[in-house]
Amino acid sequence: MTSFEDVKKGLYRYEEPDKGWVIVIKDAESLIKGAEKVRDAGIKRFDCFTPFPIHNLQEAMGLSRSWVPFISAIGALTGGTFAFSSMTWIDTSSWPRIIGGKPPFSWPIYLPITFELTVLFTAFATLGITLYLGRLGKSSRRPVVNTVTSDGFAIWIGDDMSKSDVEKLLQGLYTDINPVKV
Amino acid sequence: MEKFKVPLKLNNIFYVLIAIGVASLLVGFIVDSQRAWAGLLVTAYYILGVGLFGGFFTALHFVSGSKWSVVFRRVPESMLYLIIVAAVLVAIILIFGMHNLYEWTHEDIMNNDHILQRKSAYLNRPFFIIRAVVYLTSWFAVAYYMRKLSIKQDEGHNGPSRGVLAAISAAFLIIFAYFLEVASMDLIMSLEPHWQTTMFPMYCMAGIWFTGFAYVILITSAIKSNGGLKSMNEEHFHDLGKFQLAFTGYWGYVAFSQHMLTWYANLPEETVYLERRLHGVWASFTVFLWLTHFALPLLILLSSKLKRNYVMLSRVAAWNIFIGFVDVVWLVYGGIQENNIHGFPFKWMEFGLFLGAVGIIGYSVLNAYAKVNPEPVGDPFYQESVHFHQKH
Repeated sequence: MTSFEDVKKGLYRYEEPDKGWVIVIKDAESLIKGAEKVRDAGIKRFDCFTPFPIHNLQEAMGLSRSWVPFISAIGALTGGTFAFSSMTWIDTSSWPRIIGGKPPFSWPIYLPITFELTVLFTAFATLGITLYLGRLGKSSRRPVVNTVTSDGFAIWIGDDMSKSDVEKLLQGLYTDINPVKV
Repeated sequence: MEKFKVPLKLNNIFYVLIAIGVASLLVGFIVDSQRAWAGLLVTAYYILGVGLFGGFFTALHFVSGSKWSVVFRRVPESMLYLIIVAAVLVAIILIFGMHNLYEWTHEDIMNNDHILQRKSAYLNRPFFIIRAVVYLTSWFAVAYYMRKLSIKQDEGHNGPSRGVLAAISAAFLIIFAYFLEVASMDLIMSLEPHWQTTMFPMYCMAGIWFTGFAYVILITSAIKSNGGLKSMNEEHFHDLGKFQLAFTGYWGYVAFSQHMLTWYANLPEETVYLERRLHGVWASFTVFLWLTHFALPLLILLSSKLKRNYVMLSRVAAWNIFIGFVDVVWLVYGGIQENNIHGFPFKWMEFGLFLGAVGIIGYSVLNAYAKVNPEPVGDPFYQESVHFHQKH
């Protein structure tokens, strides 16, 4: 079971590269190896940029579980409870009616709507937490490396390192190590 | 690649299980023959479902061009001989037991019942037997041919391409769906000849998929813990677990749809089905089934840690194959409770038959698997499947 402390430790929230170095990497395997090296060097402020999701990058970066599933679960419970209880309240105390010969509290007919509101609230909660963690919705954003949205990968290290230290840390990867100062 | 050897210990366990099953059936015939016939029908249908699922999974694998499931494809492929076992059991029922199970085979009931007379063009003995022969033989023939071609793929350039296999798989999927509709209506729905619903074959299919995935998980885990299927890793089990979770949800969805539409429309020819199953001892049995066939596996299988550990996953699957059997008992016994099935629907005989079915399935699948190349190395996607989402 993941404890709350673990979750907090692994909370990932996007940070704008404001200082440090950006290293362009040529393939996904090297990106994972690079992330492991940076993680093992004890650097806390760093991030990886990829054009598509990569398996195991989360472990390589040393992040623990994301918050997104927990928030989604809260959304699901809220939606389900809201739908079922509001229909119960309307049909039993606010405005009881007999429809089709069924008693006022006919729970089987509530279930499709309960299911749908569960899905809807889960979607809203997931979208909301994703926008929050990714700091999305920002009007302007400085592009650091243009290719990361199509076919390139990059690691950003937000640490006061010298250029030669960065080169030493990431040597042996499939990349021309040519750190760019942010 | 070296062939898998079924450990003697496992085979002995299967012999003991089969002996328990046969013994409880024989004792059942002495104590209460009506119940024993129903139990035999449950066992036959359950084994048939697992056998068909093997063909269904293989066919789906080829038609959809799946890559992840190549490594363990030989396991579902090896399930096809269960169709023959089921055919033998169905033949015993058709020859000796039809009068005990199907009320429409009694001429006096048929002649005095206006509704049944109108259905007699479909519900009569010769046509019933012809249908059974047609669906059982065509399922087995196509599944056998599909497996033969798939094994031939290992020969390299002489073997069939994936396109040929996809074509025969498409044929299997069509006869699987159409004939399963016929088979579930004939074998189970006609136990209650006055009742009808179009949702019923779908419910049977959902049950077969649920139980089938549980058997694939259990058998691959058994092979893996005895030193076979070395290329299969936690990623494959994770995906099998996801399928198990999906079909738990699917079963619940179909079961609820059937229930809600019947309740809403309130038509006499439909409600009789739930009426029988929601009163007396059956009420608690039904609620137990809904909770432990749907809610319990659904909540447990949400954990991704559990799905990646095949020992833990196979424990959930062991429960699922049991509750899948209980589901078939619910369908069959619920249908004939009016004529003579009294008391709690699940007793020692049903449990013995369940153990016997597990023994037959385990023995048949593992020994068929041991005869062929354990992993389909000739498949063009074999390497891709071995390195599926591997850790770096």
